[in-house]
Amino acid sequence: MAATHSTPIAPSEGRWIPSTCGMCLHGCGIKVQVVDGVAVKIEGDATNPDNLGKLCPKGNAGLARLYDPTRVLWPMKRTNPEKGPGVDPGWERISWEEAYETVARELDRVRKDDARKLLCAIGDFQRILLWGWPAVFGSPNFFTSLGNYCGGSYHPVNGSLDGSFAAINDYEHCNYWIQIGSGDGFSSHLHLAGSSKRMADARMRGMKVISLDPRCSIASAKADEWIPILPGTDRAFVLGMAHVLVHELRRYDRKFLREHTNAPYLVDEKGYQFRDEQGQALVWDLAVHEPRPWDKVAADNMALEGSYHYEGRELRTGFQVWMDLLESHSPEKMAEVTTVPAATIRRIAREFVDAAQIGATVEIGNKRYPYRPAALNYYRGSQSHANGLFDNLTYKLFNMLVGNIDVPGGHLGVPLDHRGFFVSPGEDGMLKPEPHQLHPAPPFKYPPDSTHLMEWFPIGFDAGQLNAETILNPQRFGLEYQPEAMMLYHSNPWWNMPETNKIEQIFRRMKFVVAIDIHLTESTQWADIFLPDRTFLESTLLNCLEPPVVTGHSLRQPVVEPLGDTRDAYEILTELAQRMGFLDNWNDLLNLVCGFTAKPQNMLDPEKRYSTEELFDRFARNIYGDDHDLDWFREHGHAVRKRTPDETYMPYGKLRIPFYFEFIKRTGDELRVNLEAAGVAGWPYENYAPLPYWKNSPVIDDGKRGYDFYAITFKEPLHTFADTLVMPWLSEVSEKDPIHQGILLNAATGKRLGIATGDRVRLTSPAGSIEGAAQCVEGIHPQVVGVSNAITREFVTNSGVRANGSHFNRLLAGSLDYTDGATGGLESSARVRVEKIAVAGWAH
Amino acid sequence: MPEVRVIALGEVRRQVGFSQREISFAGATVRELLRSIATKQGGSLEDLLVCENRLRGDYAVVIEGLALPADQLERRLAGGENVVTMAVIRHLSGG
Repeated sequence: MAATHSTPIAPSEGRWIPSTCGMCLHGCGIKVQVVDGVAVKIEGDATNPDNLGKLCPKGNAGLARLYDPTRVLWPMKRTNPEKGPGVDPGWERISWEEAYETVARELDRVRKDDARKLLCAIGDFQRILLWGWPAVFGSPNFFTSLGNYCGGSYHPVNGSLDGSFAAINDYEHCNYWIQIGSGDGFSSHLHLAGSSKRMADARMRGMKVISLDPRCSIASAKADEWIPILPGTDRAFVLGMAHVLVHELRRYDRKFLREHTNAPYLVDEKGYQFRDEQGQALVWDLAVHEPRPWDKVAADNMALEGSYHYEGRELRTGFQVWMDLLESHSPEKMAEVTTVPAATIRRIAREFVDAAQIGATVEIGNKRYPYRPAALNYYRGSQSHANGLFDNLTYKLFNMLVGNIDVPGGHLGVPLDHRGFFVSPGEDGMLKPEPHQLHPAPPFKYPPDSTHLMEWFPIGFDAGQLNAETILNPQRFGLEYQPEAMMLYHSNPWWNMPETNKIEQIFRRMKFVVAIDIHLTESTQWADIFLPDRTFLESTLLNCLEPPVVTGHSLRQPVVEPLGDTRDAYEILTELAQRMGFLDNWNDLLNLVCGFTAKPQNMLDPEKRYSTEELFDRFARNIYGDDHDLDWFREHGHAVRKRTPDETYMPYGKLRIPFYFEFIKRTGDELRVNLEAAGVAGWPYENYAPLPYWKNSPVIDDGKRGYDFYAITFKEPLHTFADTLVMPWLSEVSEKDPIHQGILLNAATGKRLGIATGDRVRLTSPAGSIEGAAQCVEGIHPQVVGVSNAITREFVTNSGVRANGSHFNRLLAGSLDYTDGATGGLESSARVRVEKIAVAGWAH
Repeated sequence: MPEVRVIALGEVRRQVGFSQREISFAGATVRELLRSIATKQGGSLEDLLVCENRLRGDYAVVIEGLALPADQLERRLAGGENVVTMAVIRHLSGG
């Protein structure tokens, strides 16, 4: 037993061990002070250029996860066969041997029958290398239960544009930053701790921030200007600004569009690029007044705008096609959609294009680049909608109008990991689109193999919400089987997914559920066997995920002896693979995803069992060379460095990026042929369009059915997904902030409805209803109600944390109608009715 | 006779009986390389992976990190190149 301290511990006591935070997916560099075998303090690692010594509240609370008295520290089996919310599973401690034997037996039975019958919900983003386990088991049914809310449409568009995975404005050089539905640099998204420092530095040098958000978020509160907007209409605001640039000011970066995109490529009447007999894309050559191959015409002679008649064909440039679409998107029209005044749309558009300095250049590292210090940044709130593909495309195209993609000051792609942008040549001088970076594009198949229909989302990412749609309506989708087992690996689909009542029906159908996790959750309460994983302070991992300005891995390493009788998740999955007889395929998959096939001397022997340390030792040496083995990382903590200008700015060189997304249209047309041949009717193809425009989402249309308010959820830097809501330290901080303690309602709206702070209100959407105490505030759009994600856990084991029934996701619909038909992205807002059900102080 | 390193994963590994091997072969193309590798079924890797002059859709050949297009079997191999052969992992989906 470690010694106890009755006095404060001095920083000089014990030793400081470098490691990596695991409280969210991004992994800031940390130092952990360990005294007498006990971790006593976590600080940001100042040597790590990613987070620059900073740490967010979650990271600071990391010790509370390690030493949480309600953590599960040994394998457990359920003794109560009855399952359901509030039902005590009757957990009983068992040995690892019994646990492994039971899980391997049950899963092997499923595998030998039909491996597809295993559903895997995996939410451990840092251990992304392990995500292929279901594939080698033989099941296509892997979903995160989280990604559909935020990255469903976002990642495919980033990958299709420039081979990146995410994106962020250039903190170092941007002067005018439009922030739409995002907490980047303020409260959330990419590498918050370091990003907040970079944002603060940019503000100190005078960068202006405009924030669009239905709620006065942290970003909005700190911005130069907050523009309240209706949820899901951000795209209309930006289309209105694009209209101003293109049709009113006629100010856009013609040089960039001609030289670096396919905007001048000709498009035919059917929406495909006009090609010659050799299949070369053609442009209109202004020198000879006829179409010529794109690579035979000087950029200055390429027509960017215009319609052309040629040999009986009606041709337009890709840019002209969008110009024509934008004509109907005047600020006045978009003001009707967004509630933002037309004058504001015009003013912001003008400020933006003024700040962009079209034509300017800057020298960085002896190389001259275009300089565009104005950019629009966005994330979940503005694009996690049923038309999310259009949202994402709109924001990219708007940035492209001023030529700011991947140049200093502009909107920069962020790679998935140390490999950088995915760069390979595609057709017609273009960068090859890479909508999938986590797995190969799933080929079409009917009947579908997967319950989330990945075979029908050729550019999609994670439509996990469709599990409920298909499993409960198998005939509609031709699903030939019913899942009967589930693996939960750091994932809480019961809490994360929309329409909780449907998720409950799926859980009830499972004959066997195994959970790999650290603590009990709403979902693990349905498990038959619980396999306890180790926390980030007890395990080994090399981490590099979505680093906005740096590259390189940092090491997660054990800083204390593991508590209880826990095992590392990699070792759990490997043991199960070995017991079920597919260790060789598991090792082969790791050979592939770890990149060992590129350096065969590092390949795993298919028949041999490797420890976590052996795996990551090879991983380290494979990337950094034999002088950077695991021991090197143990001592130094990380190999993170700032990305160079060549790695950051247009790393694809002279390859063009798409303005006209022909491949999206082509992909949709091919899918239509396949689905119609299979007899599948009613599939939503409309979003497979090469260019975005405004159309109402189902949420907007729900307003016609009497749901007159919009409901949104929001998060703060205190929390990540569902995980941190059960931590007393963080929960206590949340509870001190009124915005996390009720349903936010605009004060004027509350007055109109006769609702005061503390009154009990019910929100009812087409999908469900929730109740809570009203919090009347000024900082929310009058037609919007807001529900913090910090008050929504329904099952907690820690007595220091309150459980609360106001789970926002119960308001969300998860059906195909509320899903982007091209990407699988989920609609994350809802229309609701608001009613007062009790006055403040009255028990309900 | 170029010498390349052939890596076989999963089902292909079981068919050829090795995980990785340096192979010198008569000829110069991917097709000729595949033809030179025997499988446990008695034929060659070409018989397993190629159909109607194209790489079968359920297999992949990756050379120096780049997937070989299905119709590029006549691609010439240089000595020292790294050739990975595997069945396509159809079920690696999600995200």
